[in-house]
Amino acid sequence: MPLADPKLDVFLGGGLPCGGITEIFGRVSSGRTTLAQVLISAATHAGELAAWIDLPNAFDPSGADTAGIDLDRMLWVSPTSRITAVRVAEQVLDTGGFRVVVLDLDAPSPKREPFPTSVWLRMNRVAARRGAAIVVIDANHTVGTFATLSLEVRAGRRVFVGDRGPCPVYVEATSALRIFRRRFGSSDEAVFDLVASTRA
Amino acid sequence: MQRIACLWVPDMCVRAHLRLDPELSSVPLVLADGPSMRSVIVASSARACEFGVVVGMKTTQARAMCVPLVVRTVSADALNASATALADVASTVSARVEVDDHGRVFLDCDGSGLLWASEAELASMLSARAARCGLPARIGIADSKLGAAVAAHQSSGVTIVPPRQTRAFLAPHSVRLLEPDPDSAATLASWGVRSIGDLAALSGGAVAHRLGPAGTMLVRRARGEDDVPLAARTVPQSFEESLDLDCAVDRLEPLLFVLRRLIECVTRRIALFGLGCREISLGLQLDNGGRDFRTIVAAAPTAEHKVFVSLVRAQLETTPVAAAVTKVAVAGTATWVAPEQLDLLRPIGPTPAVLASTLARLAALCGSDRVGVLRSADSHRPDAVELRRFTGDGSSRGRGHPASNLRVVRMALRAFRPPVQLEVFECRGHLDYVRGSGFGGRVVHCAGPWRLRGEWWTADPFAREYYDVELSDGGVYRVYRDARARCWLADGVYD
Repeated sequence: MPLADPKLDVFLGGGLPCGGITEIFGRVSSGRTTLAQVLISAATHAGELAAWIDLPNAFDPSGADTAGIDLDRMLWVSPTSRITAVRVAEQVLDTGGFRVVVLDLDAPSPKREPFPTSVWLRMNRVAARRGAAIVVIDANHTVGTFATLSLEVRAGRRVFVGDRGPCPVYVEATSALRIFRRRFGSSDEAVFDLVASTRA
Repeated sequence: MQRIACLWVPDMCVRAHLRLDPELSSVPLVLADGPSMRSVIVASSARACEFGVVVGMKTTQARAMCVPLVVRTVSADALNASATALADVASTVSARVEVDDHGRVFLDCDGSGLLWASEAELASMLSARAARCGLPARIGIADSKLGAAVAAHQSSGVTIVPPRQTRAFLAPHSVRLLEPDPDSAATLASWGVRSIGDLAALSGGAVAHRLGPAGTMLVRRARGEDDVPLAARTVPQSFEESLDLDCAVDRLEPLLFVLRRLIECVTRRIALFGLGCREISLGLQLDNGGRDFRTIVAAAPTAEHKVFVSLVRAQLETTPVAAAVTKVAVAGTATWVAPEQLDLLRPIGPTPAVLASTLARLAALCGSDRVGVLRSADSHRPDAVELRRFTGDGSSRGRGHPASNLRVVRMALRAFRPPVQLEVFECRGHLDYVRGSGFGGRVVHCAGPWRLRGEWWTADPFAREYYDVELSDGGVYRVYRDARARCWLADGVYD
């Protein structure tokens, strides 16, 4: 699925891969959610339906609206557990018509048991059948070899303007995207800098 | 000259039960007048008759003759629903429809040549629609109700008496088919009138002189004439099916098995009229004497029973029935189905019915307050959100959002719901160290404060001082000091 920025499309190898799982992982404040919102924004802007499965109950509609997401075309579901989140994702994909499904699994939990491999196999199969893109957000490389594309996001430069003045302002952050693993094709060392602003 | 069609289902009593439980069609089935062992058989299927089981036997006697016999209690509701379903089939063709005491349905098919090439084609269409409702009907078409009824009884499928030949068709049949009252029957027997043809040959005035108005009516019917035209039948708006369960059902799957069949019957009857169903009412009679009424509403009118079955499943999973169920009733309201208009410039999404089914399943899985469209609420509080129903209808096209330029994008915030309590250490009026649940560190950069006050005109005003802090753990958090509660909280992290 093509995104809005041709450079990002080229970096990802032709856009967001449909029919498989794209994994975005990295530390907190690295820019994972910003990147996922960019993908959802592109999908809803093209008239597609999208879904955001929000395990940590952390979705911010105000920022998402500003980011260009058509919230009326984005189904928000907040499951109560990790396994429920996967079941919700399967049901949403099975409905058909949802082109991008974001599965946000980065919830603070005392016990984070890994998913059985059958979960990702099933999701890959249903995504391939529906031609949908599943985007998994987590702190770690959760999906493993079942991901069509694994993107590692690292925090880059943060810009605080007027740091020494009476009222400094946080204006910008740069995220470095690196293709950690690609199922079809080689994983080169190229880095894409995604610049996010609090004022965009 | 009028033309009347008659729809008749042989063994209607048995068929009415097979319609709601088709699994019974492969077993010998009898219907008894009660659940006790001493009850009497009132109807039996053809397979049961092969074992020698006949109407009037006691159920114990029948069981002795046929070991695999299945005995069910006859249900008046099932009979009524089947007769109504047959009338619904007739109503799809004609506005003038009548149901007689024997469960036969008569319809006025005069002028049907404008819609169908022949009466045979009309009859085969009626037969197909009745079969779709689970009722294999025999059809007769003649100039009068009696002629059509006799033709339906005689046929194995469709019998059509040509126009103006009904009198000749009825002539050889017994005069008892006219159902004369006992006095008239005795008088006719004393006259030596045995067949309908004999009676039709008599002078109408002479018979009326001796038998009164009843005689006139008998002669007219014998000549293939109806004295009263068919009455108009209003097309029903509500379609109901019900079933008494042989034993109380306390588990979901068996209950859904029964409900699926009833819902299918209702939606099929509605679909006969080219309509859909928006909502169905579910009435459950419970073992403890109570009743459970539910209304299941679909997102859009549909004639697909699977949509309602999944909605019913979701609701019964969310709010189970309090006790075992002894009787179920399903009623559906017919609604016009608006044709779906596809957008030339927008991809095809799920149909409203399928989407509603998915939303219901998700609501059952996560809770209804966790599924929908999350939006900022119309409030002065920056973290106030509201949930709306998801319909998939948006207006993204043409919106001038910055999705076309990714050189700089909007930074996303991951909200903390509820806000996380913080311990904040200050040094010389500046934030120095922040510690919360699951995160914490020395403040590397700090932006702010931005003061926000609002709702001071209500009982719950707020006054906050917001800061964006970058901690040594790498995270950039949005924290605020609640001036009223005198505490520090974090309501999100930039990501």
